[in-house]
Amino acid sequence: MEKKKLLVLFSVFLTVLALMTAGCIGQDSAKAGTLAEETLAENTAEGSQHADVVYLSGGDYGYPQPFTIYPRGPGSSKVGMIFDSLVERDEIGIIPWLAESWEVSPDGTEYTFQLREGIVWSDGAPFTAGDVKFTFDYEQKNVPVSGGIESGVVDNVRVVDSGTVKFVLSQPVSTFLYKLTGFKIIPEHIYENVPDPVSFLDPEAVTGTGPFLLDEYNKEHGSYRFVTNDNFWGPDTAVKSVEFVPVSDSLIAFEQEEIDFTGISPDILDRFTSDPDVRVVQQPAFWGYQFYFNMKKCPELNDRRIRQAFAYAVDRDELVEKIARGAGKAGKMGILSEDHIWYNPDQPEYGYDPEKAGALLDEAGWTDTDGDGIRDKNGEKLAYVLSLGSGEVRIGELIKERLSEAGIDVQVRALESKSRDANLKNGDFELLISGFGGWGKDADYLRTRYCDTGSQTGSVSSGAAVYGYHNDTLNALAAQELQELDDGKRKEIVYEMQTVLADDVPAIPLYYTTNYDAWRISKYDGWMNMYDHHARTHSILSYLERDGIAEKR
Amino acid sequence: MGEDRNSFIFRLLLTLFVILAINFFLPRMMPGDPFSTTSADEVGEEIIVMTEEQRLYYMNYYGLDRPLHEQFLVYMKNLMTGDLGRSIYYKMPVSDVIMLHLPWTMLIVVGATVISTVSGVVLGTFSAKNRKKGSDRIMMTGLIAFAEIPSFLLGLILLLVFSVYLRLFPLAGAITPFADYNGPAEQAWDILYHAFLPVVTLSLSQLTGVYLLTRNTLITVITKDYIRTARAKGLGEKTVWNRHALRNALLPVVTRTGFMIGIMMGGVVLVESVFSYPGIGMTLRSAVVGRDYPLIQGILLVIAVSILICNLLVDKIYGKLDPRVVI
Repeated sequence: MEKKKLLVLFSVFLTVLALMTAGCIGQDSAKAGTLAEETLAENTAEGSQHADVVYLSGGDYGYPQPFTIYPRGPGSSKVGMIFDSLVERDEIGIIPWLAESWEVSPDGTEYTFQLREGIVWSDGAPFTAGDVKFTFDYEQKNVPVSGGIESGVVDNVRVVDSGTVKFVLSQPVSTFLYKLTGFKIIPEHIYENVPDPVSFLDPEAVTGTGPFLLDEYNKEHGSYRFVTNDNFWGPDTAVKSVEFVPVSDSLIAFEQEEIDFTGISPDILDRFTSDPDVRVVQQPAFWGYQFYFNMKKCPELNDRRIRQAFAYAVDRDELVEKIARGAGKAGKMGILSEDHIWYNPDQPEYGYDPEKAGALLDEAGWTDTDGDGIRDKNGEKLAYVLSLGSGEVRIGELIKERLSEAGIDVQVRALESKSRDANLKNGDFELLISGFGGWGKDADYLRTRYCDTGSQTGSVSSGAAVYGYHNDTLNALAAQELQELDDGKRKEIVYEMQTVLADDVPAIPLYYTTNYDAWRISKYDGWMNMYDHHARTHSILSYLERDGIAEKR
Repeated sequence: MGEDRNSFIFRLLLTLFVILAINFFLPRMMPGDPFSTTSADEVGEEIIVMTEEQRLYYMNYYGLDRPLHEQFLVYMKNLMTGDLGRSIYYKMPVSDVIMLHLPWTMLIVVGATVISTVSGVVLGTFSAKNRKKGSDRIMMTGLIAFAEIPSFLLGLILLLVFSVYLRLFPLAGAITPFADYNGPAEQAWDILYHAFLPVVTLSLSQLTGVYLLTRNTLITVITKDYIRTARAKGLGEKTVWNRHALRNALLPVVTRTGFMIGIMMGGVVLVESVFSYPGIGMTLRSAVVGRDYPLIQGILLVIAVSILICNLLVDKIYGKLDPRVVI
């Protein structure tokens, strides 16, 4: 009896296993080829602009107040559902939010904000200029996980009257308004009595002025339920309640209608593009991989011709094709991605061109004198160790292959993510790959990443000073850009910075990902992208009626 | 006897101290620190890259900028008062984090241990009785082949078959999110319903070991003289097998069960991540990834202590099963 049962059970498993592996392989190889060329047919159906509940993929990202979210994952967007900032971002730019209007002094050091009238905290207490000043002062002592304003930017904040607040800057900072979009105002009447906000997990901790209230948070299961804040001052919520529920695989959960929004990989696109109820849209290219040169450790990399040779030798289109399965855009040497609002389309281009790479290396004096396929100069070989995270090995292998064709020898060294980060921070690498988001943010990151001037607005641990890049022209432009208050003029400077960067290749953006989002339009179709961010579910405007202050522009 | 007892306690304390020291220093020897993350682990993942200023603030906040020996002394001192410290990542006391997640792991580990041990012994006995017959051979080959499937793959298969295609079981989690239960019975049912696949996966991955051990020990035992004696006394086959053979064969199985808890803690990480089960394994993994030193220490300590307790328990049970063993 037992024997029979066991046999049946076992053979069932074997069959299932065989079937599934066969199925997977079949699907993969059949589709991979056609994917890249295939353009998405747009789903023109009308979707629902309102929903009682929207279900999203959950996971524990911390208690949603500015001091207790986790540094990994979308914690700050959950803070944004409860807490407001003075200004907000829509699909085009910065819009007024808690502040109705503002004035900037001619020298750019004083910002006076007129606050909207009649705003109350979710517990009924009125919101005043005092809360804004309090938040700034409080965060000087207690640094929030995200959205804090780094020291050296603001000298002090003054309450002019209960509806007016003035920020006095130490010097003009062109990105100040942009920084304020992440600066979430916390209630003075609650936090004034909290000496250590990092351990403040009481229900009052999530008292905000924003459109939602935290109705339930379960840390162990990673679920959140946000419901409409009836005291909210702004546009009505289009989604009455948002529930983040734990899923093991967001795609399966989406197919089983447990969640209404998911990211999908290019390999299974077909399954959804034919579904009239599903809208599939690509994300803007704001998440990418950067390839670092360590010019401190490898002095020959200070020769820009060698770095340019790398840019010609690495086939970035191939990476998009083979690794991102077409869902990406090849890196631009001007650093900003094509989807960035200030992308300069007129910059030096580096197509895949091994011959040009070879010519540049010849010119720099690196030739293969001993015929082993690796270039050398004065007895030294052009050979490097490429450090990367264990998830990026395939990228590394493809790059290794292309570079070896140009006569550059590369050993791929896969590290655990934190070890790689530690090496990057300490400058303990030769070449390195790291992936991160935020490529859509204010172009000022061209300064923080590639300028080695010790500026007072905070240093980045993975910045140019670490890997030994120095460019006087870029530094000078960056200093201008940081002080230029006229957007038009600033944009011109940023364009010029891109040209300089593209010419000099201090690092190579390999590719920016453009993953696919899919959602069920009959459930809710109001998803939008902020102009600087890739994830639609992170934008607070995605959950609001697009009228009044939040009107679609 | 008194001296023995003293030396036993001394050895226990020494073991504990060594464990504590390793738990403390090992995580800190890993490259990086909790605040210097600059890269995301997967495409599209968001991370908050801290400025150097923020990093230094937090290093100071958690006392990580003090010399290591000082930190160790503080840790030991706090431990004496039962304070495991504060999790850097989760921003709450380590003991709270552990208490939230450990019960879930206990549930599936204990469940899996019971199921795999009982069914392993039953199947092993069956196999030993039918030694060299077809059924024994098929079962043995089948189970050995089965044991070669890694537990996460097995979990994935079960998930695909029973949750995705047949939709019999939930896809993830340990409870239905935001559920309103009508009484504890419904809640218990919901918990068991969610625990079922993880427990089965973990049981199946342990089953073969128990099965083989039982079968092989029984086969050795059954040839012993005392079995022949028992049979010669005219005892029934049932009594011979159950009272004489099995009882002796169970000794190594019990030992193995004790060790298994420790081994399973490794496997449980993978199983929990396949089923998004909120156990301690997943928590440990994220603690290591995030270099959350206090939490790593706390979880490793709990695991180490539970293995020590299991070993003590095994010794006790051993004494009951085999009166010759004196503890």
